[in-house]
Amino acid sequence: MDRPKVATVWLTGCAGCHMSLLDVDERILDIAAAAEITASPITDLKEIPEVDVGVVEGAVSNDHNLHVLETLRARCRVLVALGDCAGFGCVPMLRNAFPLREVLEHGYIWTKGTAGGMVPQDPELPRLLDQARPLRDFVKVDIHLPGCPPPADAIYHALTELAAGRMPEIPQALLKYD
Amino acid sequence: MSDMKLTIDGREVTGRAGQTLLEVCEAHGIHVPTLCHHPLLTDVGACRLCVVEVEGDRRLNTACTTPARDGMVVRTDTERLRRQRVMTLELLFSERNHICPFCAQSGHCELQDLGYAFGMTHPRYPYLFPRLRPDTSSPYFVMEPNRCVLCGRCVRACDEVAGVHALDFGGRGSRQEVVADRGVPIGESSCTACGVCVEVCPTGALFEKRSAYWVRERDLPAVATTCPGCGVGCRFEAVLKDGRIVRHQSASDAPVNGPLLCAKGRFGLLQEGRSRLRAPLARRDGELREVGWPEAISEVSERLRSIRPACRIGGVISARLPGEALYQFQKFLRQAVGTDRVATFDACDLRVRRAAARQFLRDGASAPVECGLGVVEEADAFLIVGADLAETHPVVAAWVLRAVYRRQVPLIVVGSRRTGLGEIADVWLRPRRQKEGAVLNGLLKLLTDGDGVEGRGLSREAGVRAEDLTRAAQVYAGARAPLILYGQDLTRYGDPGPVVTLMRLATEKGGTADGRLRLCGLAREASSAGALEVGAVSDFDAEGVDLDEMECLYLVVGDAEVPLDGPALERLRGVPFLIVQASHRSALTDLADVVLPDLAWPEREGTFVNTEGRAQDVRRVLTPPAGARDDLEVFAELGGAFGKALARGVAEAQREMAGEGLLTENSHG
Repeated sequence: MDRPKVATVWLTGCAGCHMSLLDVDERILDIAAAAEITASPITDLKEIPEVDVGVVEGAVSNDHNLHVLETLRARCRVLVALGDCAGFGCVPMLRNAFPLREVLEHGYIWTKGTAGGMVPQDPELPRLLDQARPLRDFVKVDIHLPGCPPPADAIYHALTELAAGRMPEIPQALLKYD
Repeated sequence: MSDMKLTIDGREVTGRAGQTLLEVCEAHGIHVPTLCHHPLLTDVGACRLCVVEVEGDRRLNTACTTPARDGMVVRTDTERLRRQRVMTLELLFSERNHICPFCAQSGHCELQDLGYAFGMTHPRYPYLFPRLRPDTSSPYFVMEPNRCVLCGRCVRACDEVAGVHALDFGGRGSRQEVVADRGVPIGESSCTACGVCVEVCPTGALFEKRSAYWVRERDLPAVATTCPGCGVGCRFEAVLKDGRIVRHQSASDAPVNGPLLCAKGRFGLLQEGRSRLRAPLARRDGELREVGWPEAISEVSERLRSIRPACRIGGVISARLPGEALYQFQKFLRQAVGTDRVATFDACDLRVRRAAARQFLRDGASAPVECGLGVVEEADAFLIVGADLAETHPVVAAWVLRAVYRRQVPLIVVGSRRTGLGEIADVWLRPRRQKEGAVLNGLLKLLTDGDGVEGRGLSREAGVRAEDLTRAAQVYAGARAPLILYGQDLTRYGDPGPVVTLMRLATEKGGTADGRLRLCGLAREASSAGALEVGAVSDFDAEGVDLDEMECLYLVVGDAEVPLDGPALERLRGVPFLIVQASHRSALTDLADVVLPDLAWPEREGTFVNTEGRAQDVRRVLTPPAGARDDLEVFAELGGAFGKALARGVAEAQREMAGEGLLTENSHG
């Protein structure tokens, strides 16, 4: 039987959750044996195929993030929100207290050492949404793995359970919000 | 107290009349999750997490506000309750911006703990993202509304424990928030920075600036000790991590202050900006240079031995130091050096009170025994004379405020200094300089004679309005248990007369249950009340003419801040040999000929006797730096040079003092 397929993406995140995934150390071999990791920043494969499990790190803060999220949601059966940004909004949502225009001007014009700054307008660039939000505000999320980052053991537990066809329950010892 | 029988989770338990369901559960080890509940505060049922099912009622009831009744059948842990509680918790998480990864409270937060306990992986409700800014205007703590769950513990604590009521709710519904006064920055409000709110806050909505992000642990070791700040004698616990004090919190054993502390004791003691003295200093060629202890000791002892007559040597010690240090200092001076010119820095106040007590006794009264601080709670009027309590004894000021706000106890203040309590007083008499005595005599006359003529004459002399004096007398006369509190502004001129008048005033009213006058002179420092008893206060007037005769002055200040103005410093400069024993550098140590590095308050052991005469122990919290020495050790070294054996440590000193019957429960005055 074919191994279940997994794809991971990172949106507006720091990559820390993926680093925590790698913190499973040699157990990555168990994961690779139990599941096929397709598109992922780790494999550097860009195209997302139809997969069984989609894992998303980071909050949705621009239209590109949204596009990637919706694409993955459409191509996977079970969607996992990995980490606090994906599940709680966390760091990216700090900017939600301020109007978007102010945020951009602070970043590109009013920073010390910037002379003659301007907010980039290139049509190729992703456009920031008014607010950075957790995944569930846009798509259905099946599993939330909280943590900043989630402990490697929690990620290992969730992935192996999913590979075995079960919905993982997070034991209290592996539940953390920071 | 009738027993009642209830069934909780299938178990038959008994409860007492007046108990809530929560109290019954707790008494029987049945866990019910709570958040807005706090053992020190009245329950309000705000958070809705303690909901339980009561048979016969289709609604869920909050256990903390539901009275237990005989025959109740209660369930605390059903599927319905679990669903309800988790939804409530998730609503709390989504209402404001709770971001654990960079919250000062993460690791020791009650909201976070509930999330873990309920197995919450995410709040299902969309975030509101309210726009909330932290208020950092207080010097000691931050109000961070993004982390607030509106439990109201801070509001209740500020009202019920601190007595200030600076915090309350402003706005309603989703706009509700905790505000200071009418919505001003907390640092500009009537907040006294006592910190009770910070201590009871379950989340990171109120956190201390100094220890923020320093500690994630919940259970750290703590040492309970007595505060050196003033004569009230509060107990607190110093919480420790890596050999440093993280913060102060209320002690479980605090017979005087309970859960209340003041800004100075909770926060101020931990703010030390002066530089620490780590080695003795001696003047060489006009400059202070570091020397070793043996050299410093021999220089001091040789100089002292060379001065004849010995009465040209005087010593002044701060009553902020434990009683053992005061006792040994006077013993060193009297028995080793041979001078009886010893005093504390607040000696004037102590002498005046001793003189007043003697005069009162001479005039035929029985021993005037001042009451303890517990009498504040039963007072139905306050007469505060010559004291700025909010400055000198903030915890007592808080009790007075609490009584005034919550029980509408009338307040009379006599004092020309502008004080917070004066401004809210029912009657505030502001006499001319040194005319407090006239005001008090006027009160006494109005009280005893009824005929207002002499009273009005006295009011003119004092520079207060006759109507105000009359009203004050009426308030005092109309009270059954009025309490008089007085402070150092009344005694600073050296005249015991006004204090005697207060004693007479208090005698006009019934005493306490144990036969004491409803009168309390608040001793200034932690050891002031015991200073006379241990012999540390003779007639030596270090500020007056006696100073000009001195060949040598030995000042022991510890870590006290001795406020000396220009003229005082100039006079000290004129003393031929000045020894200063202190823990930190100051204008005073810069004047000295020899500086002996002393311990700071967290390094001391010993006993404080508070204003009630209650002896409480001081425990060492921190290890002193290598070069600093305990006062007793220094006095013993110096005493040795004079051939006099003095106690080498606190325990030995305490044995000697016990042998002389000193520092046991006593009453002063």
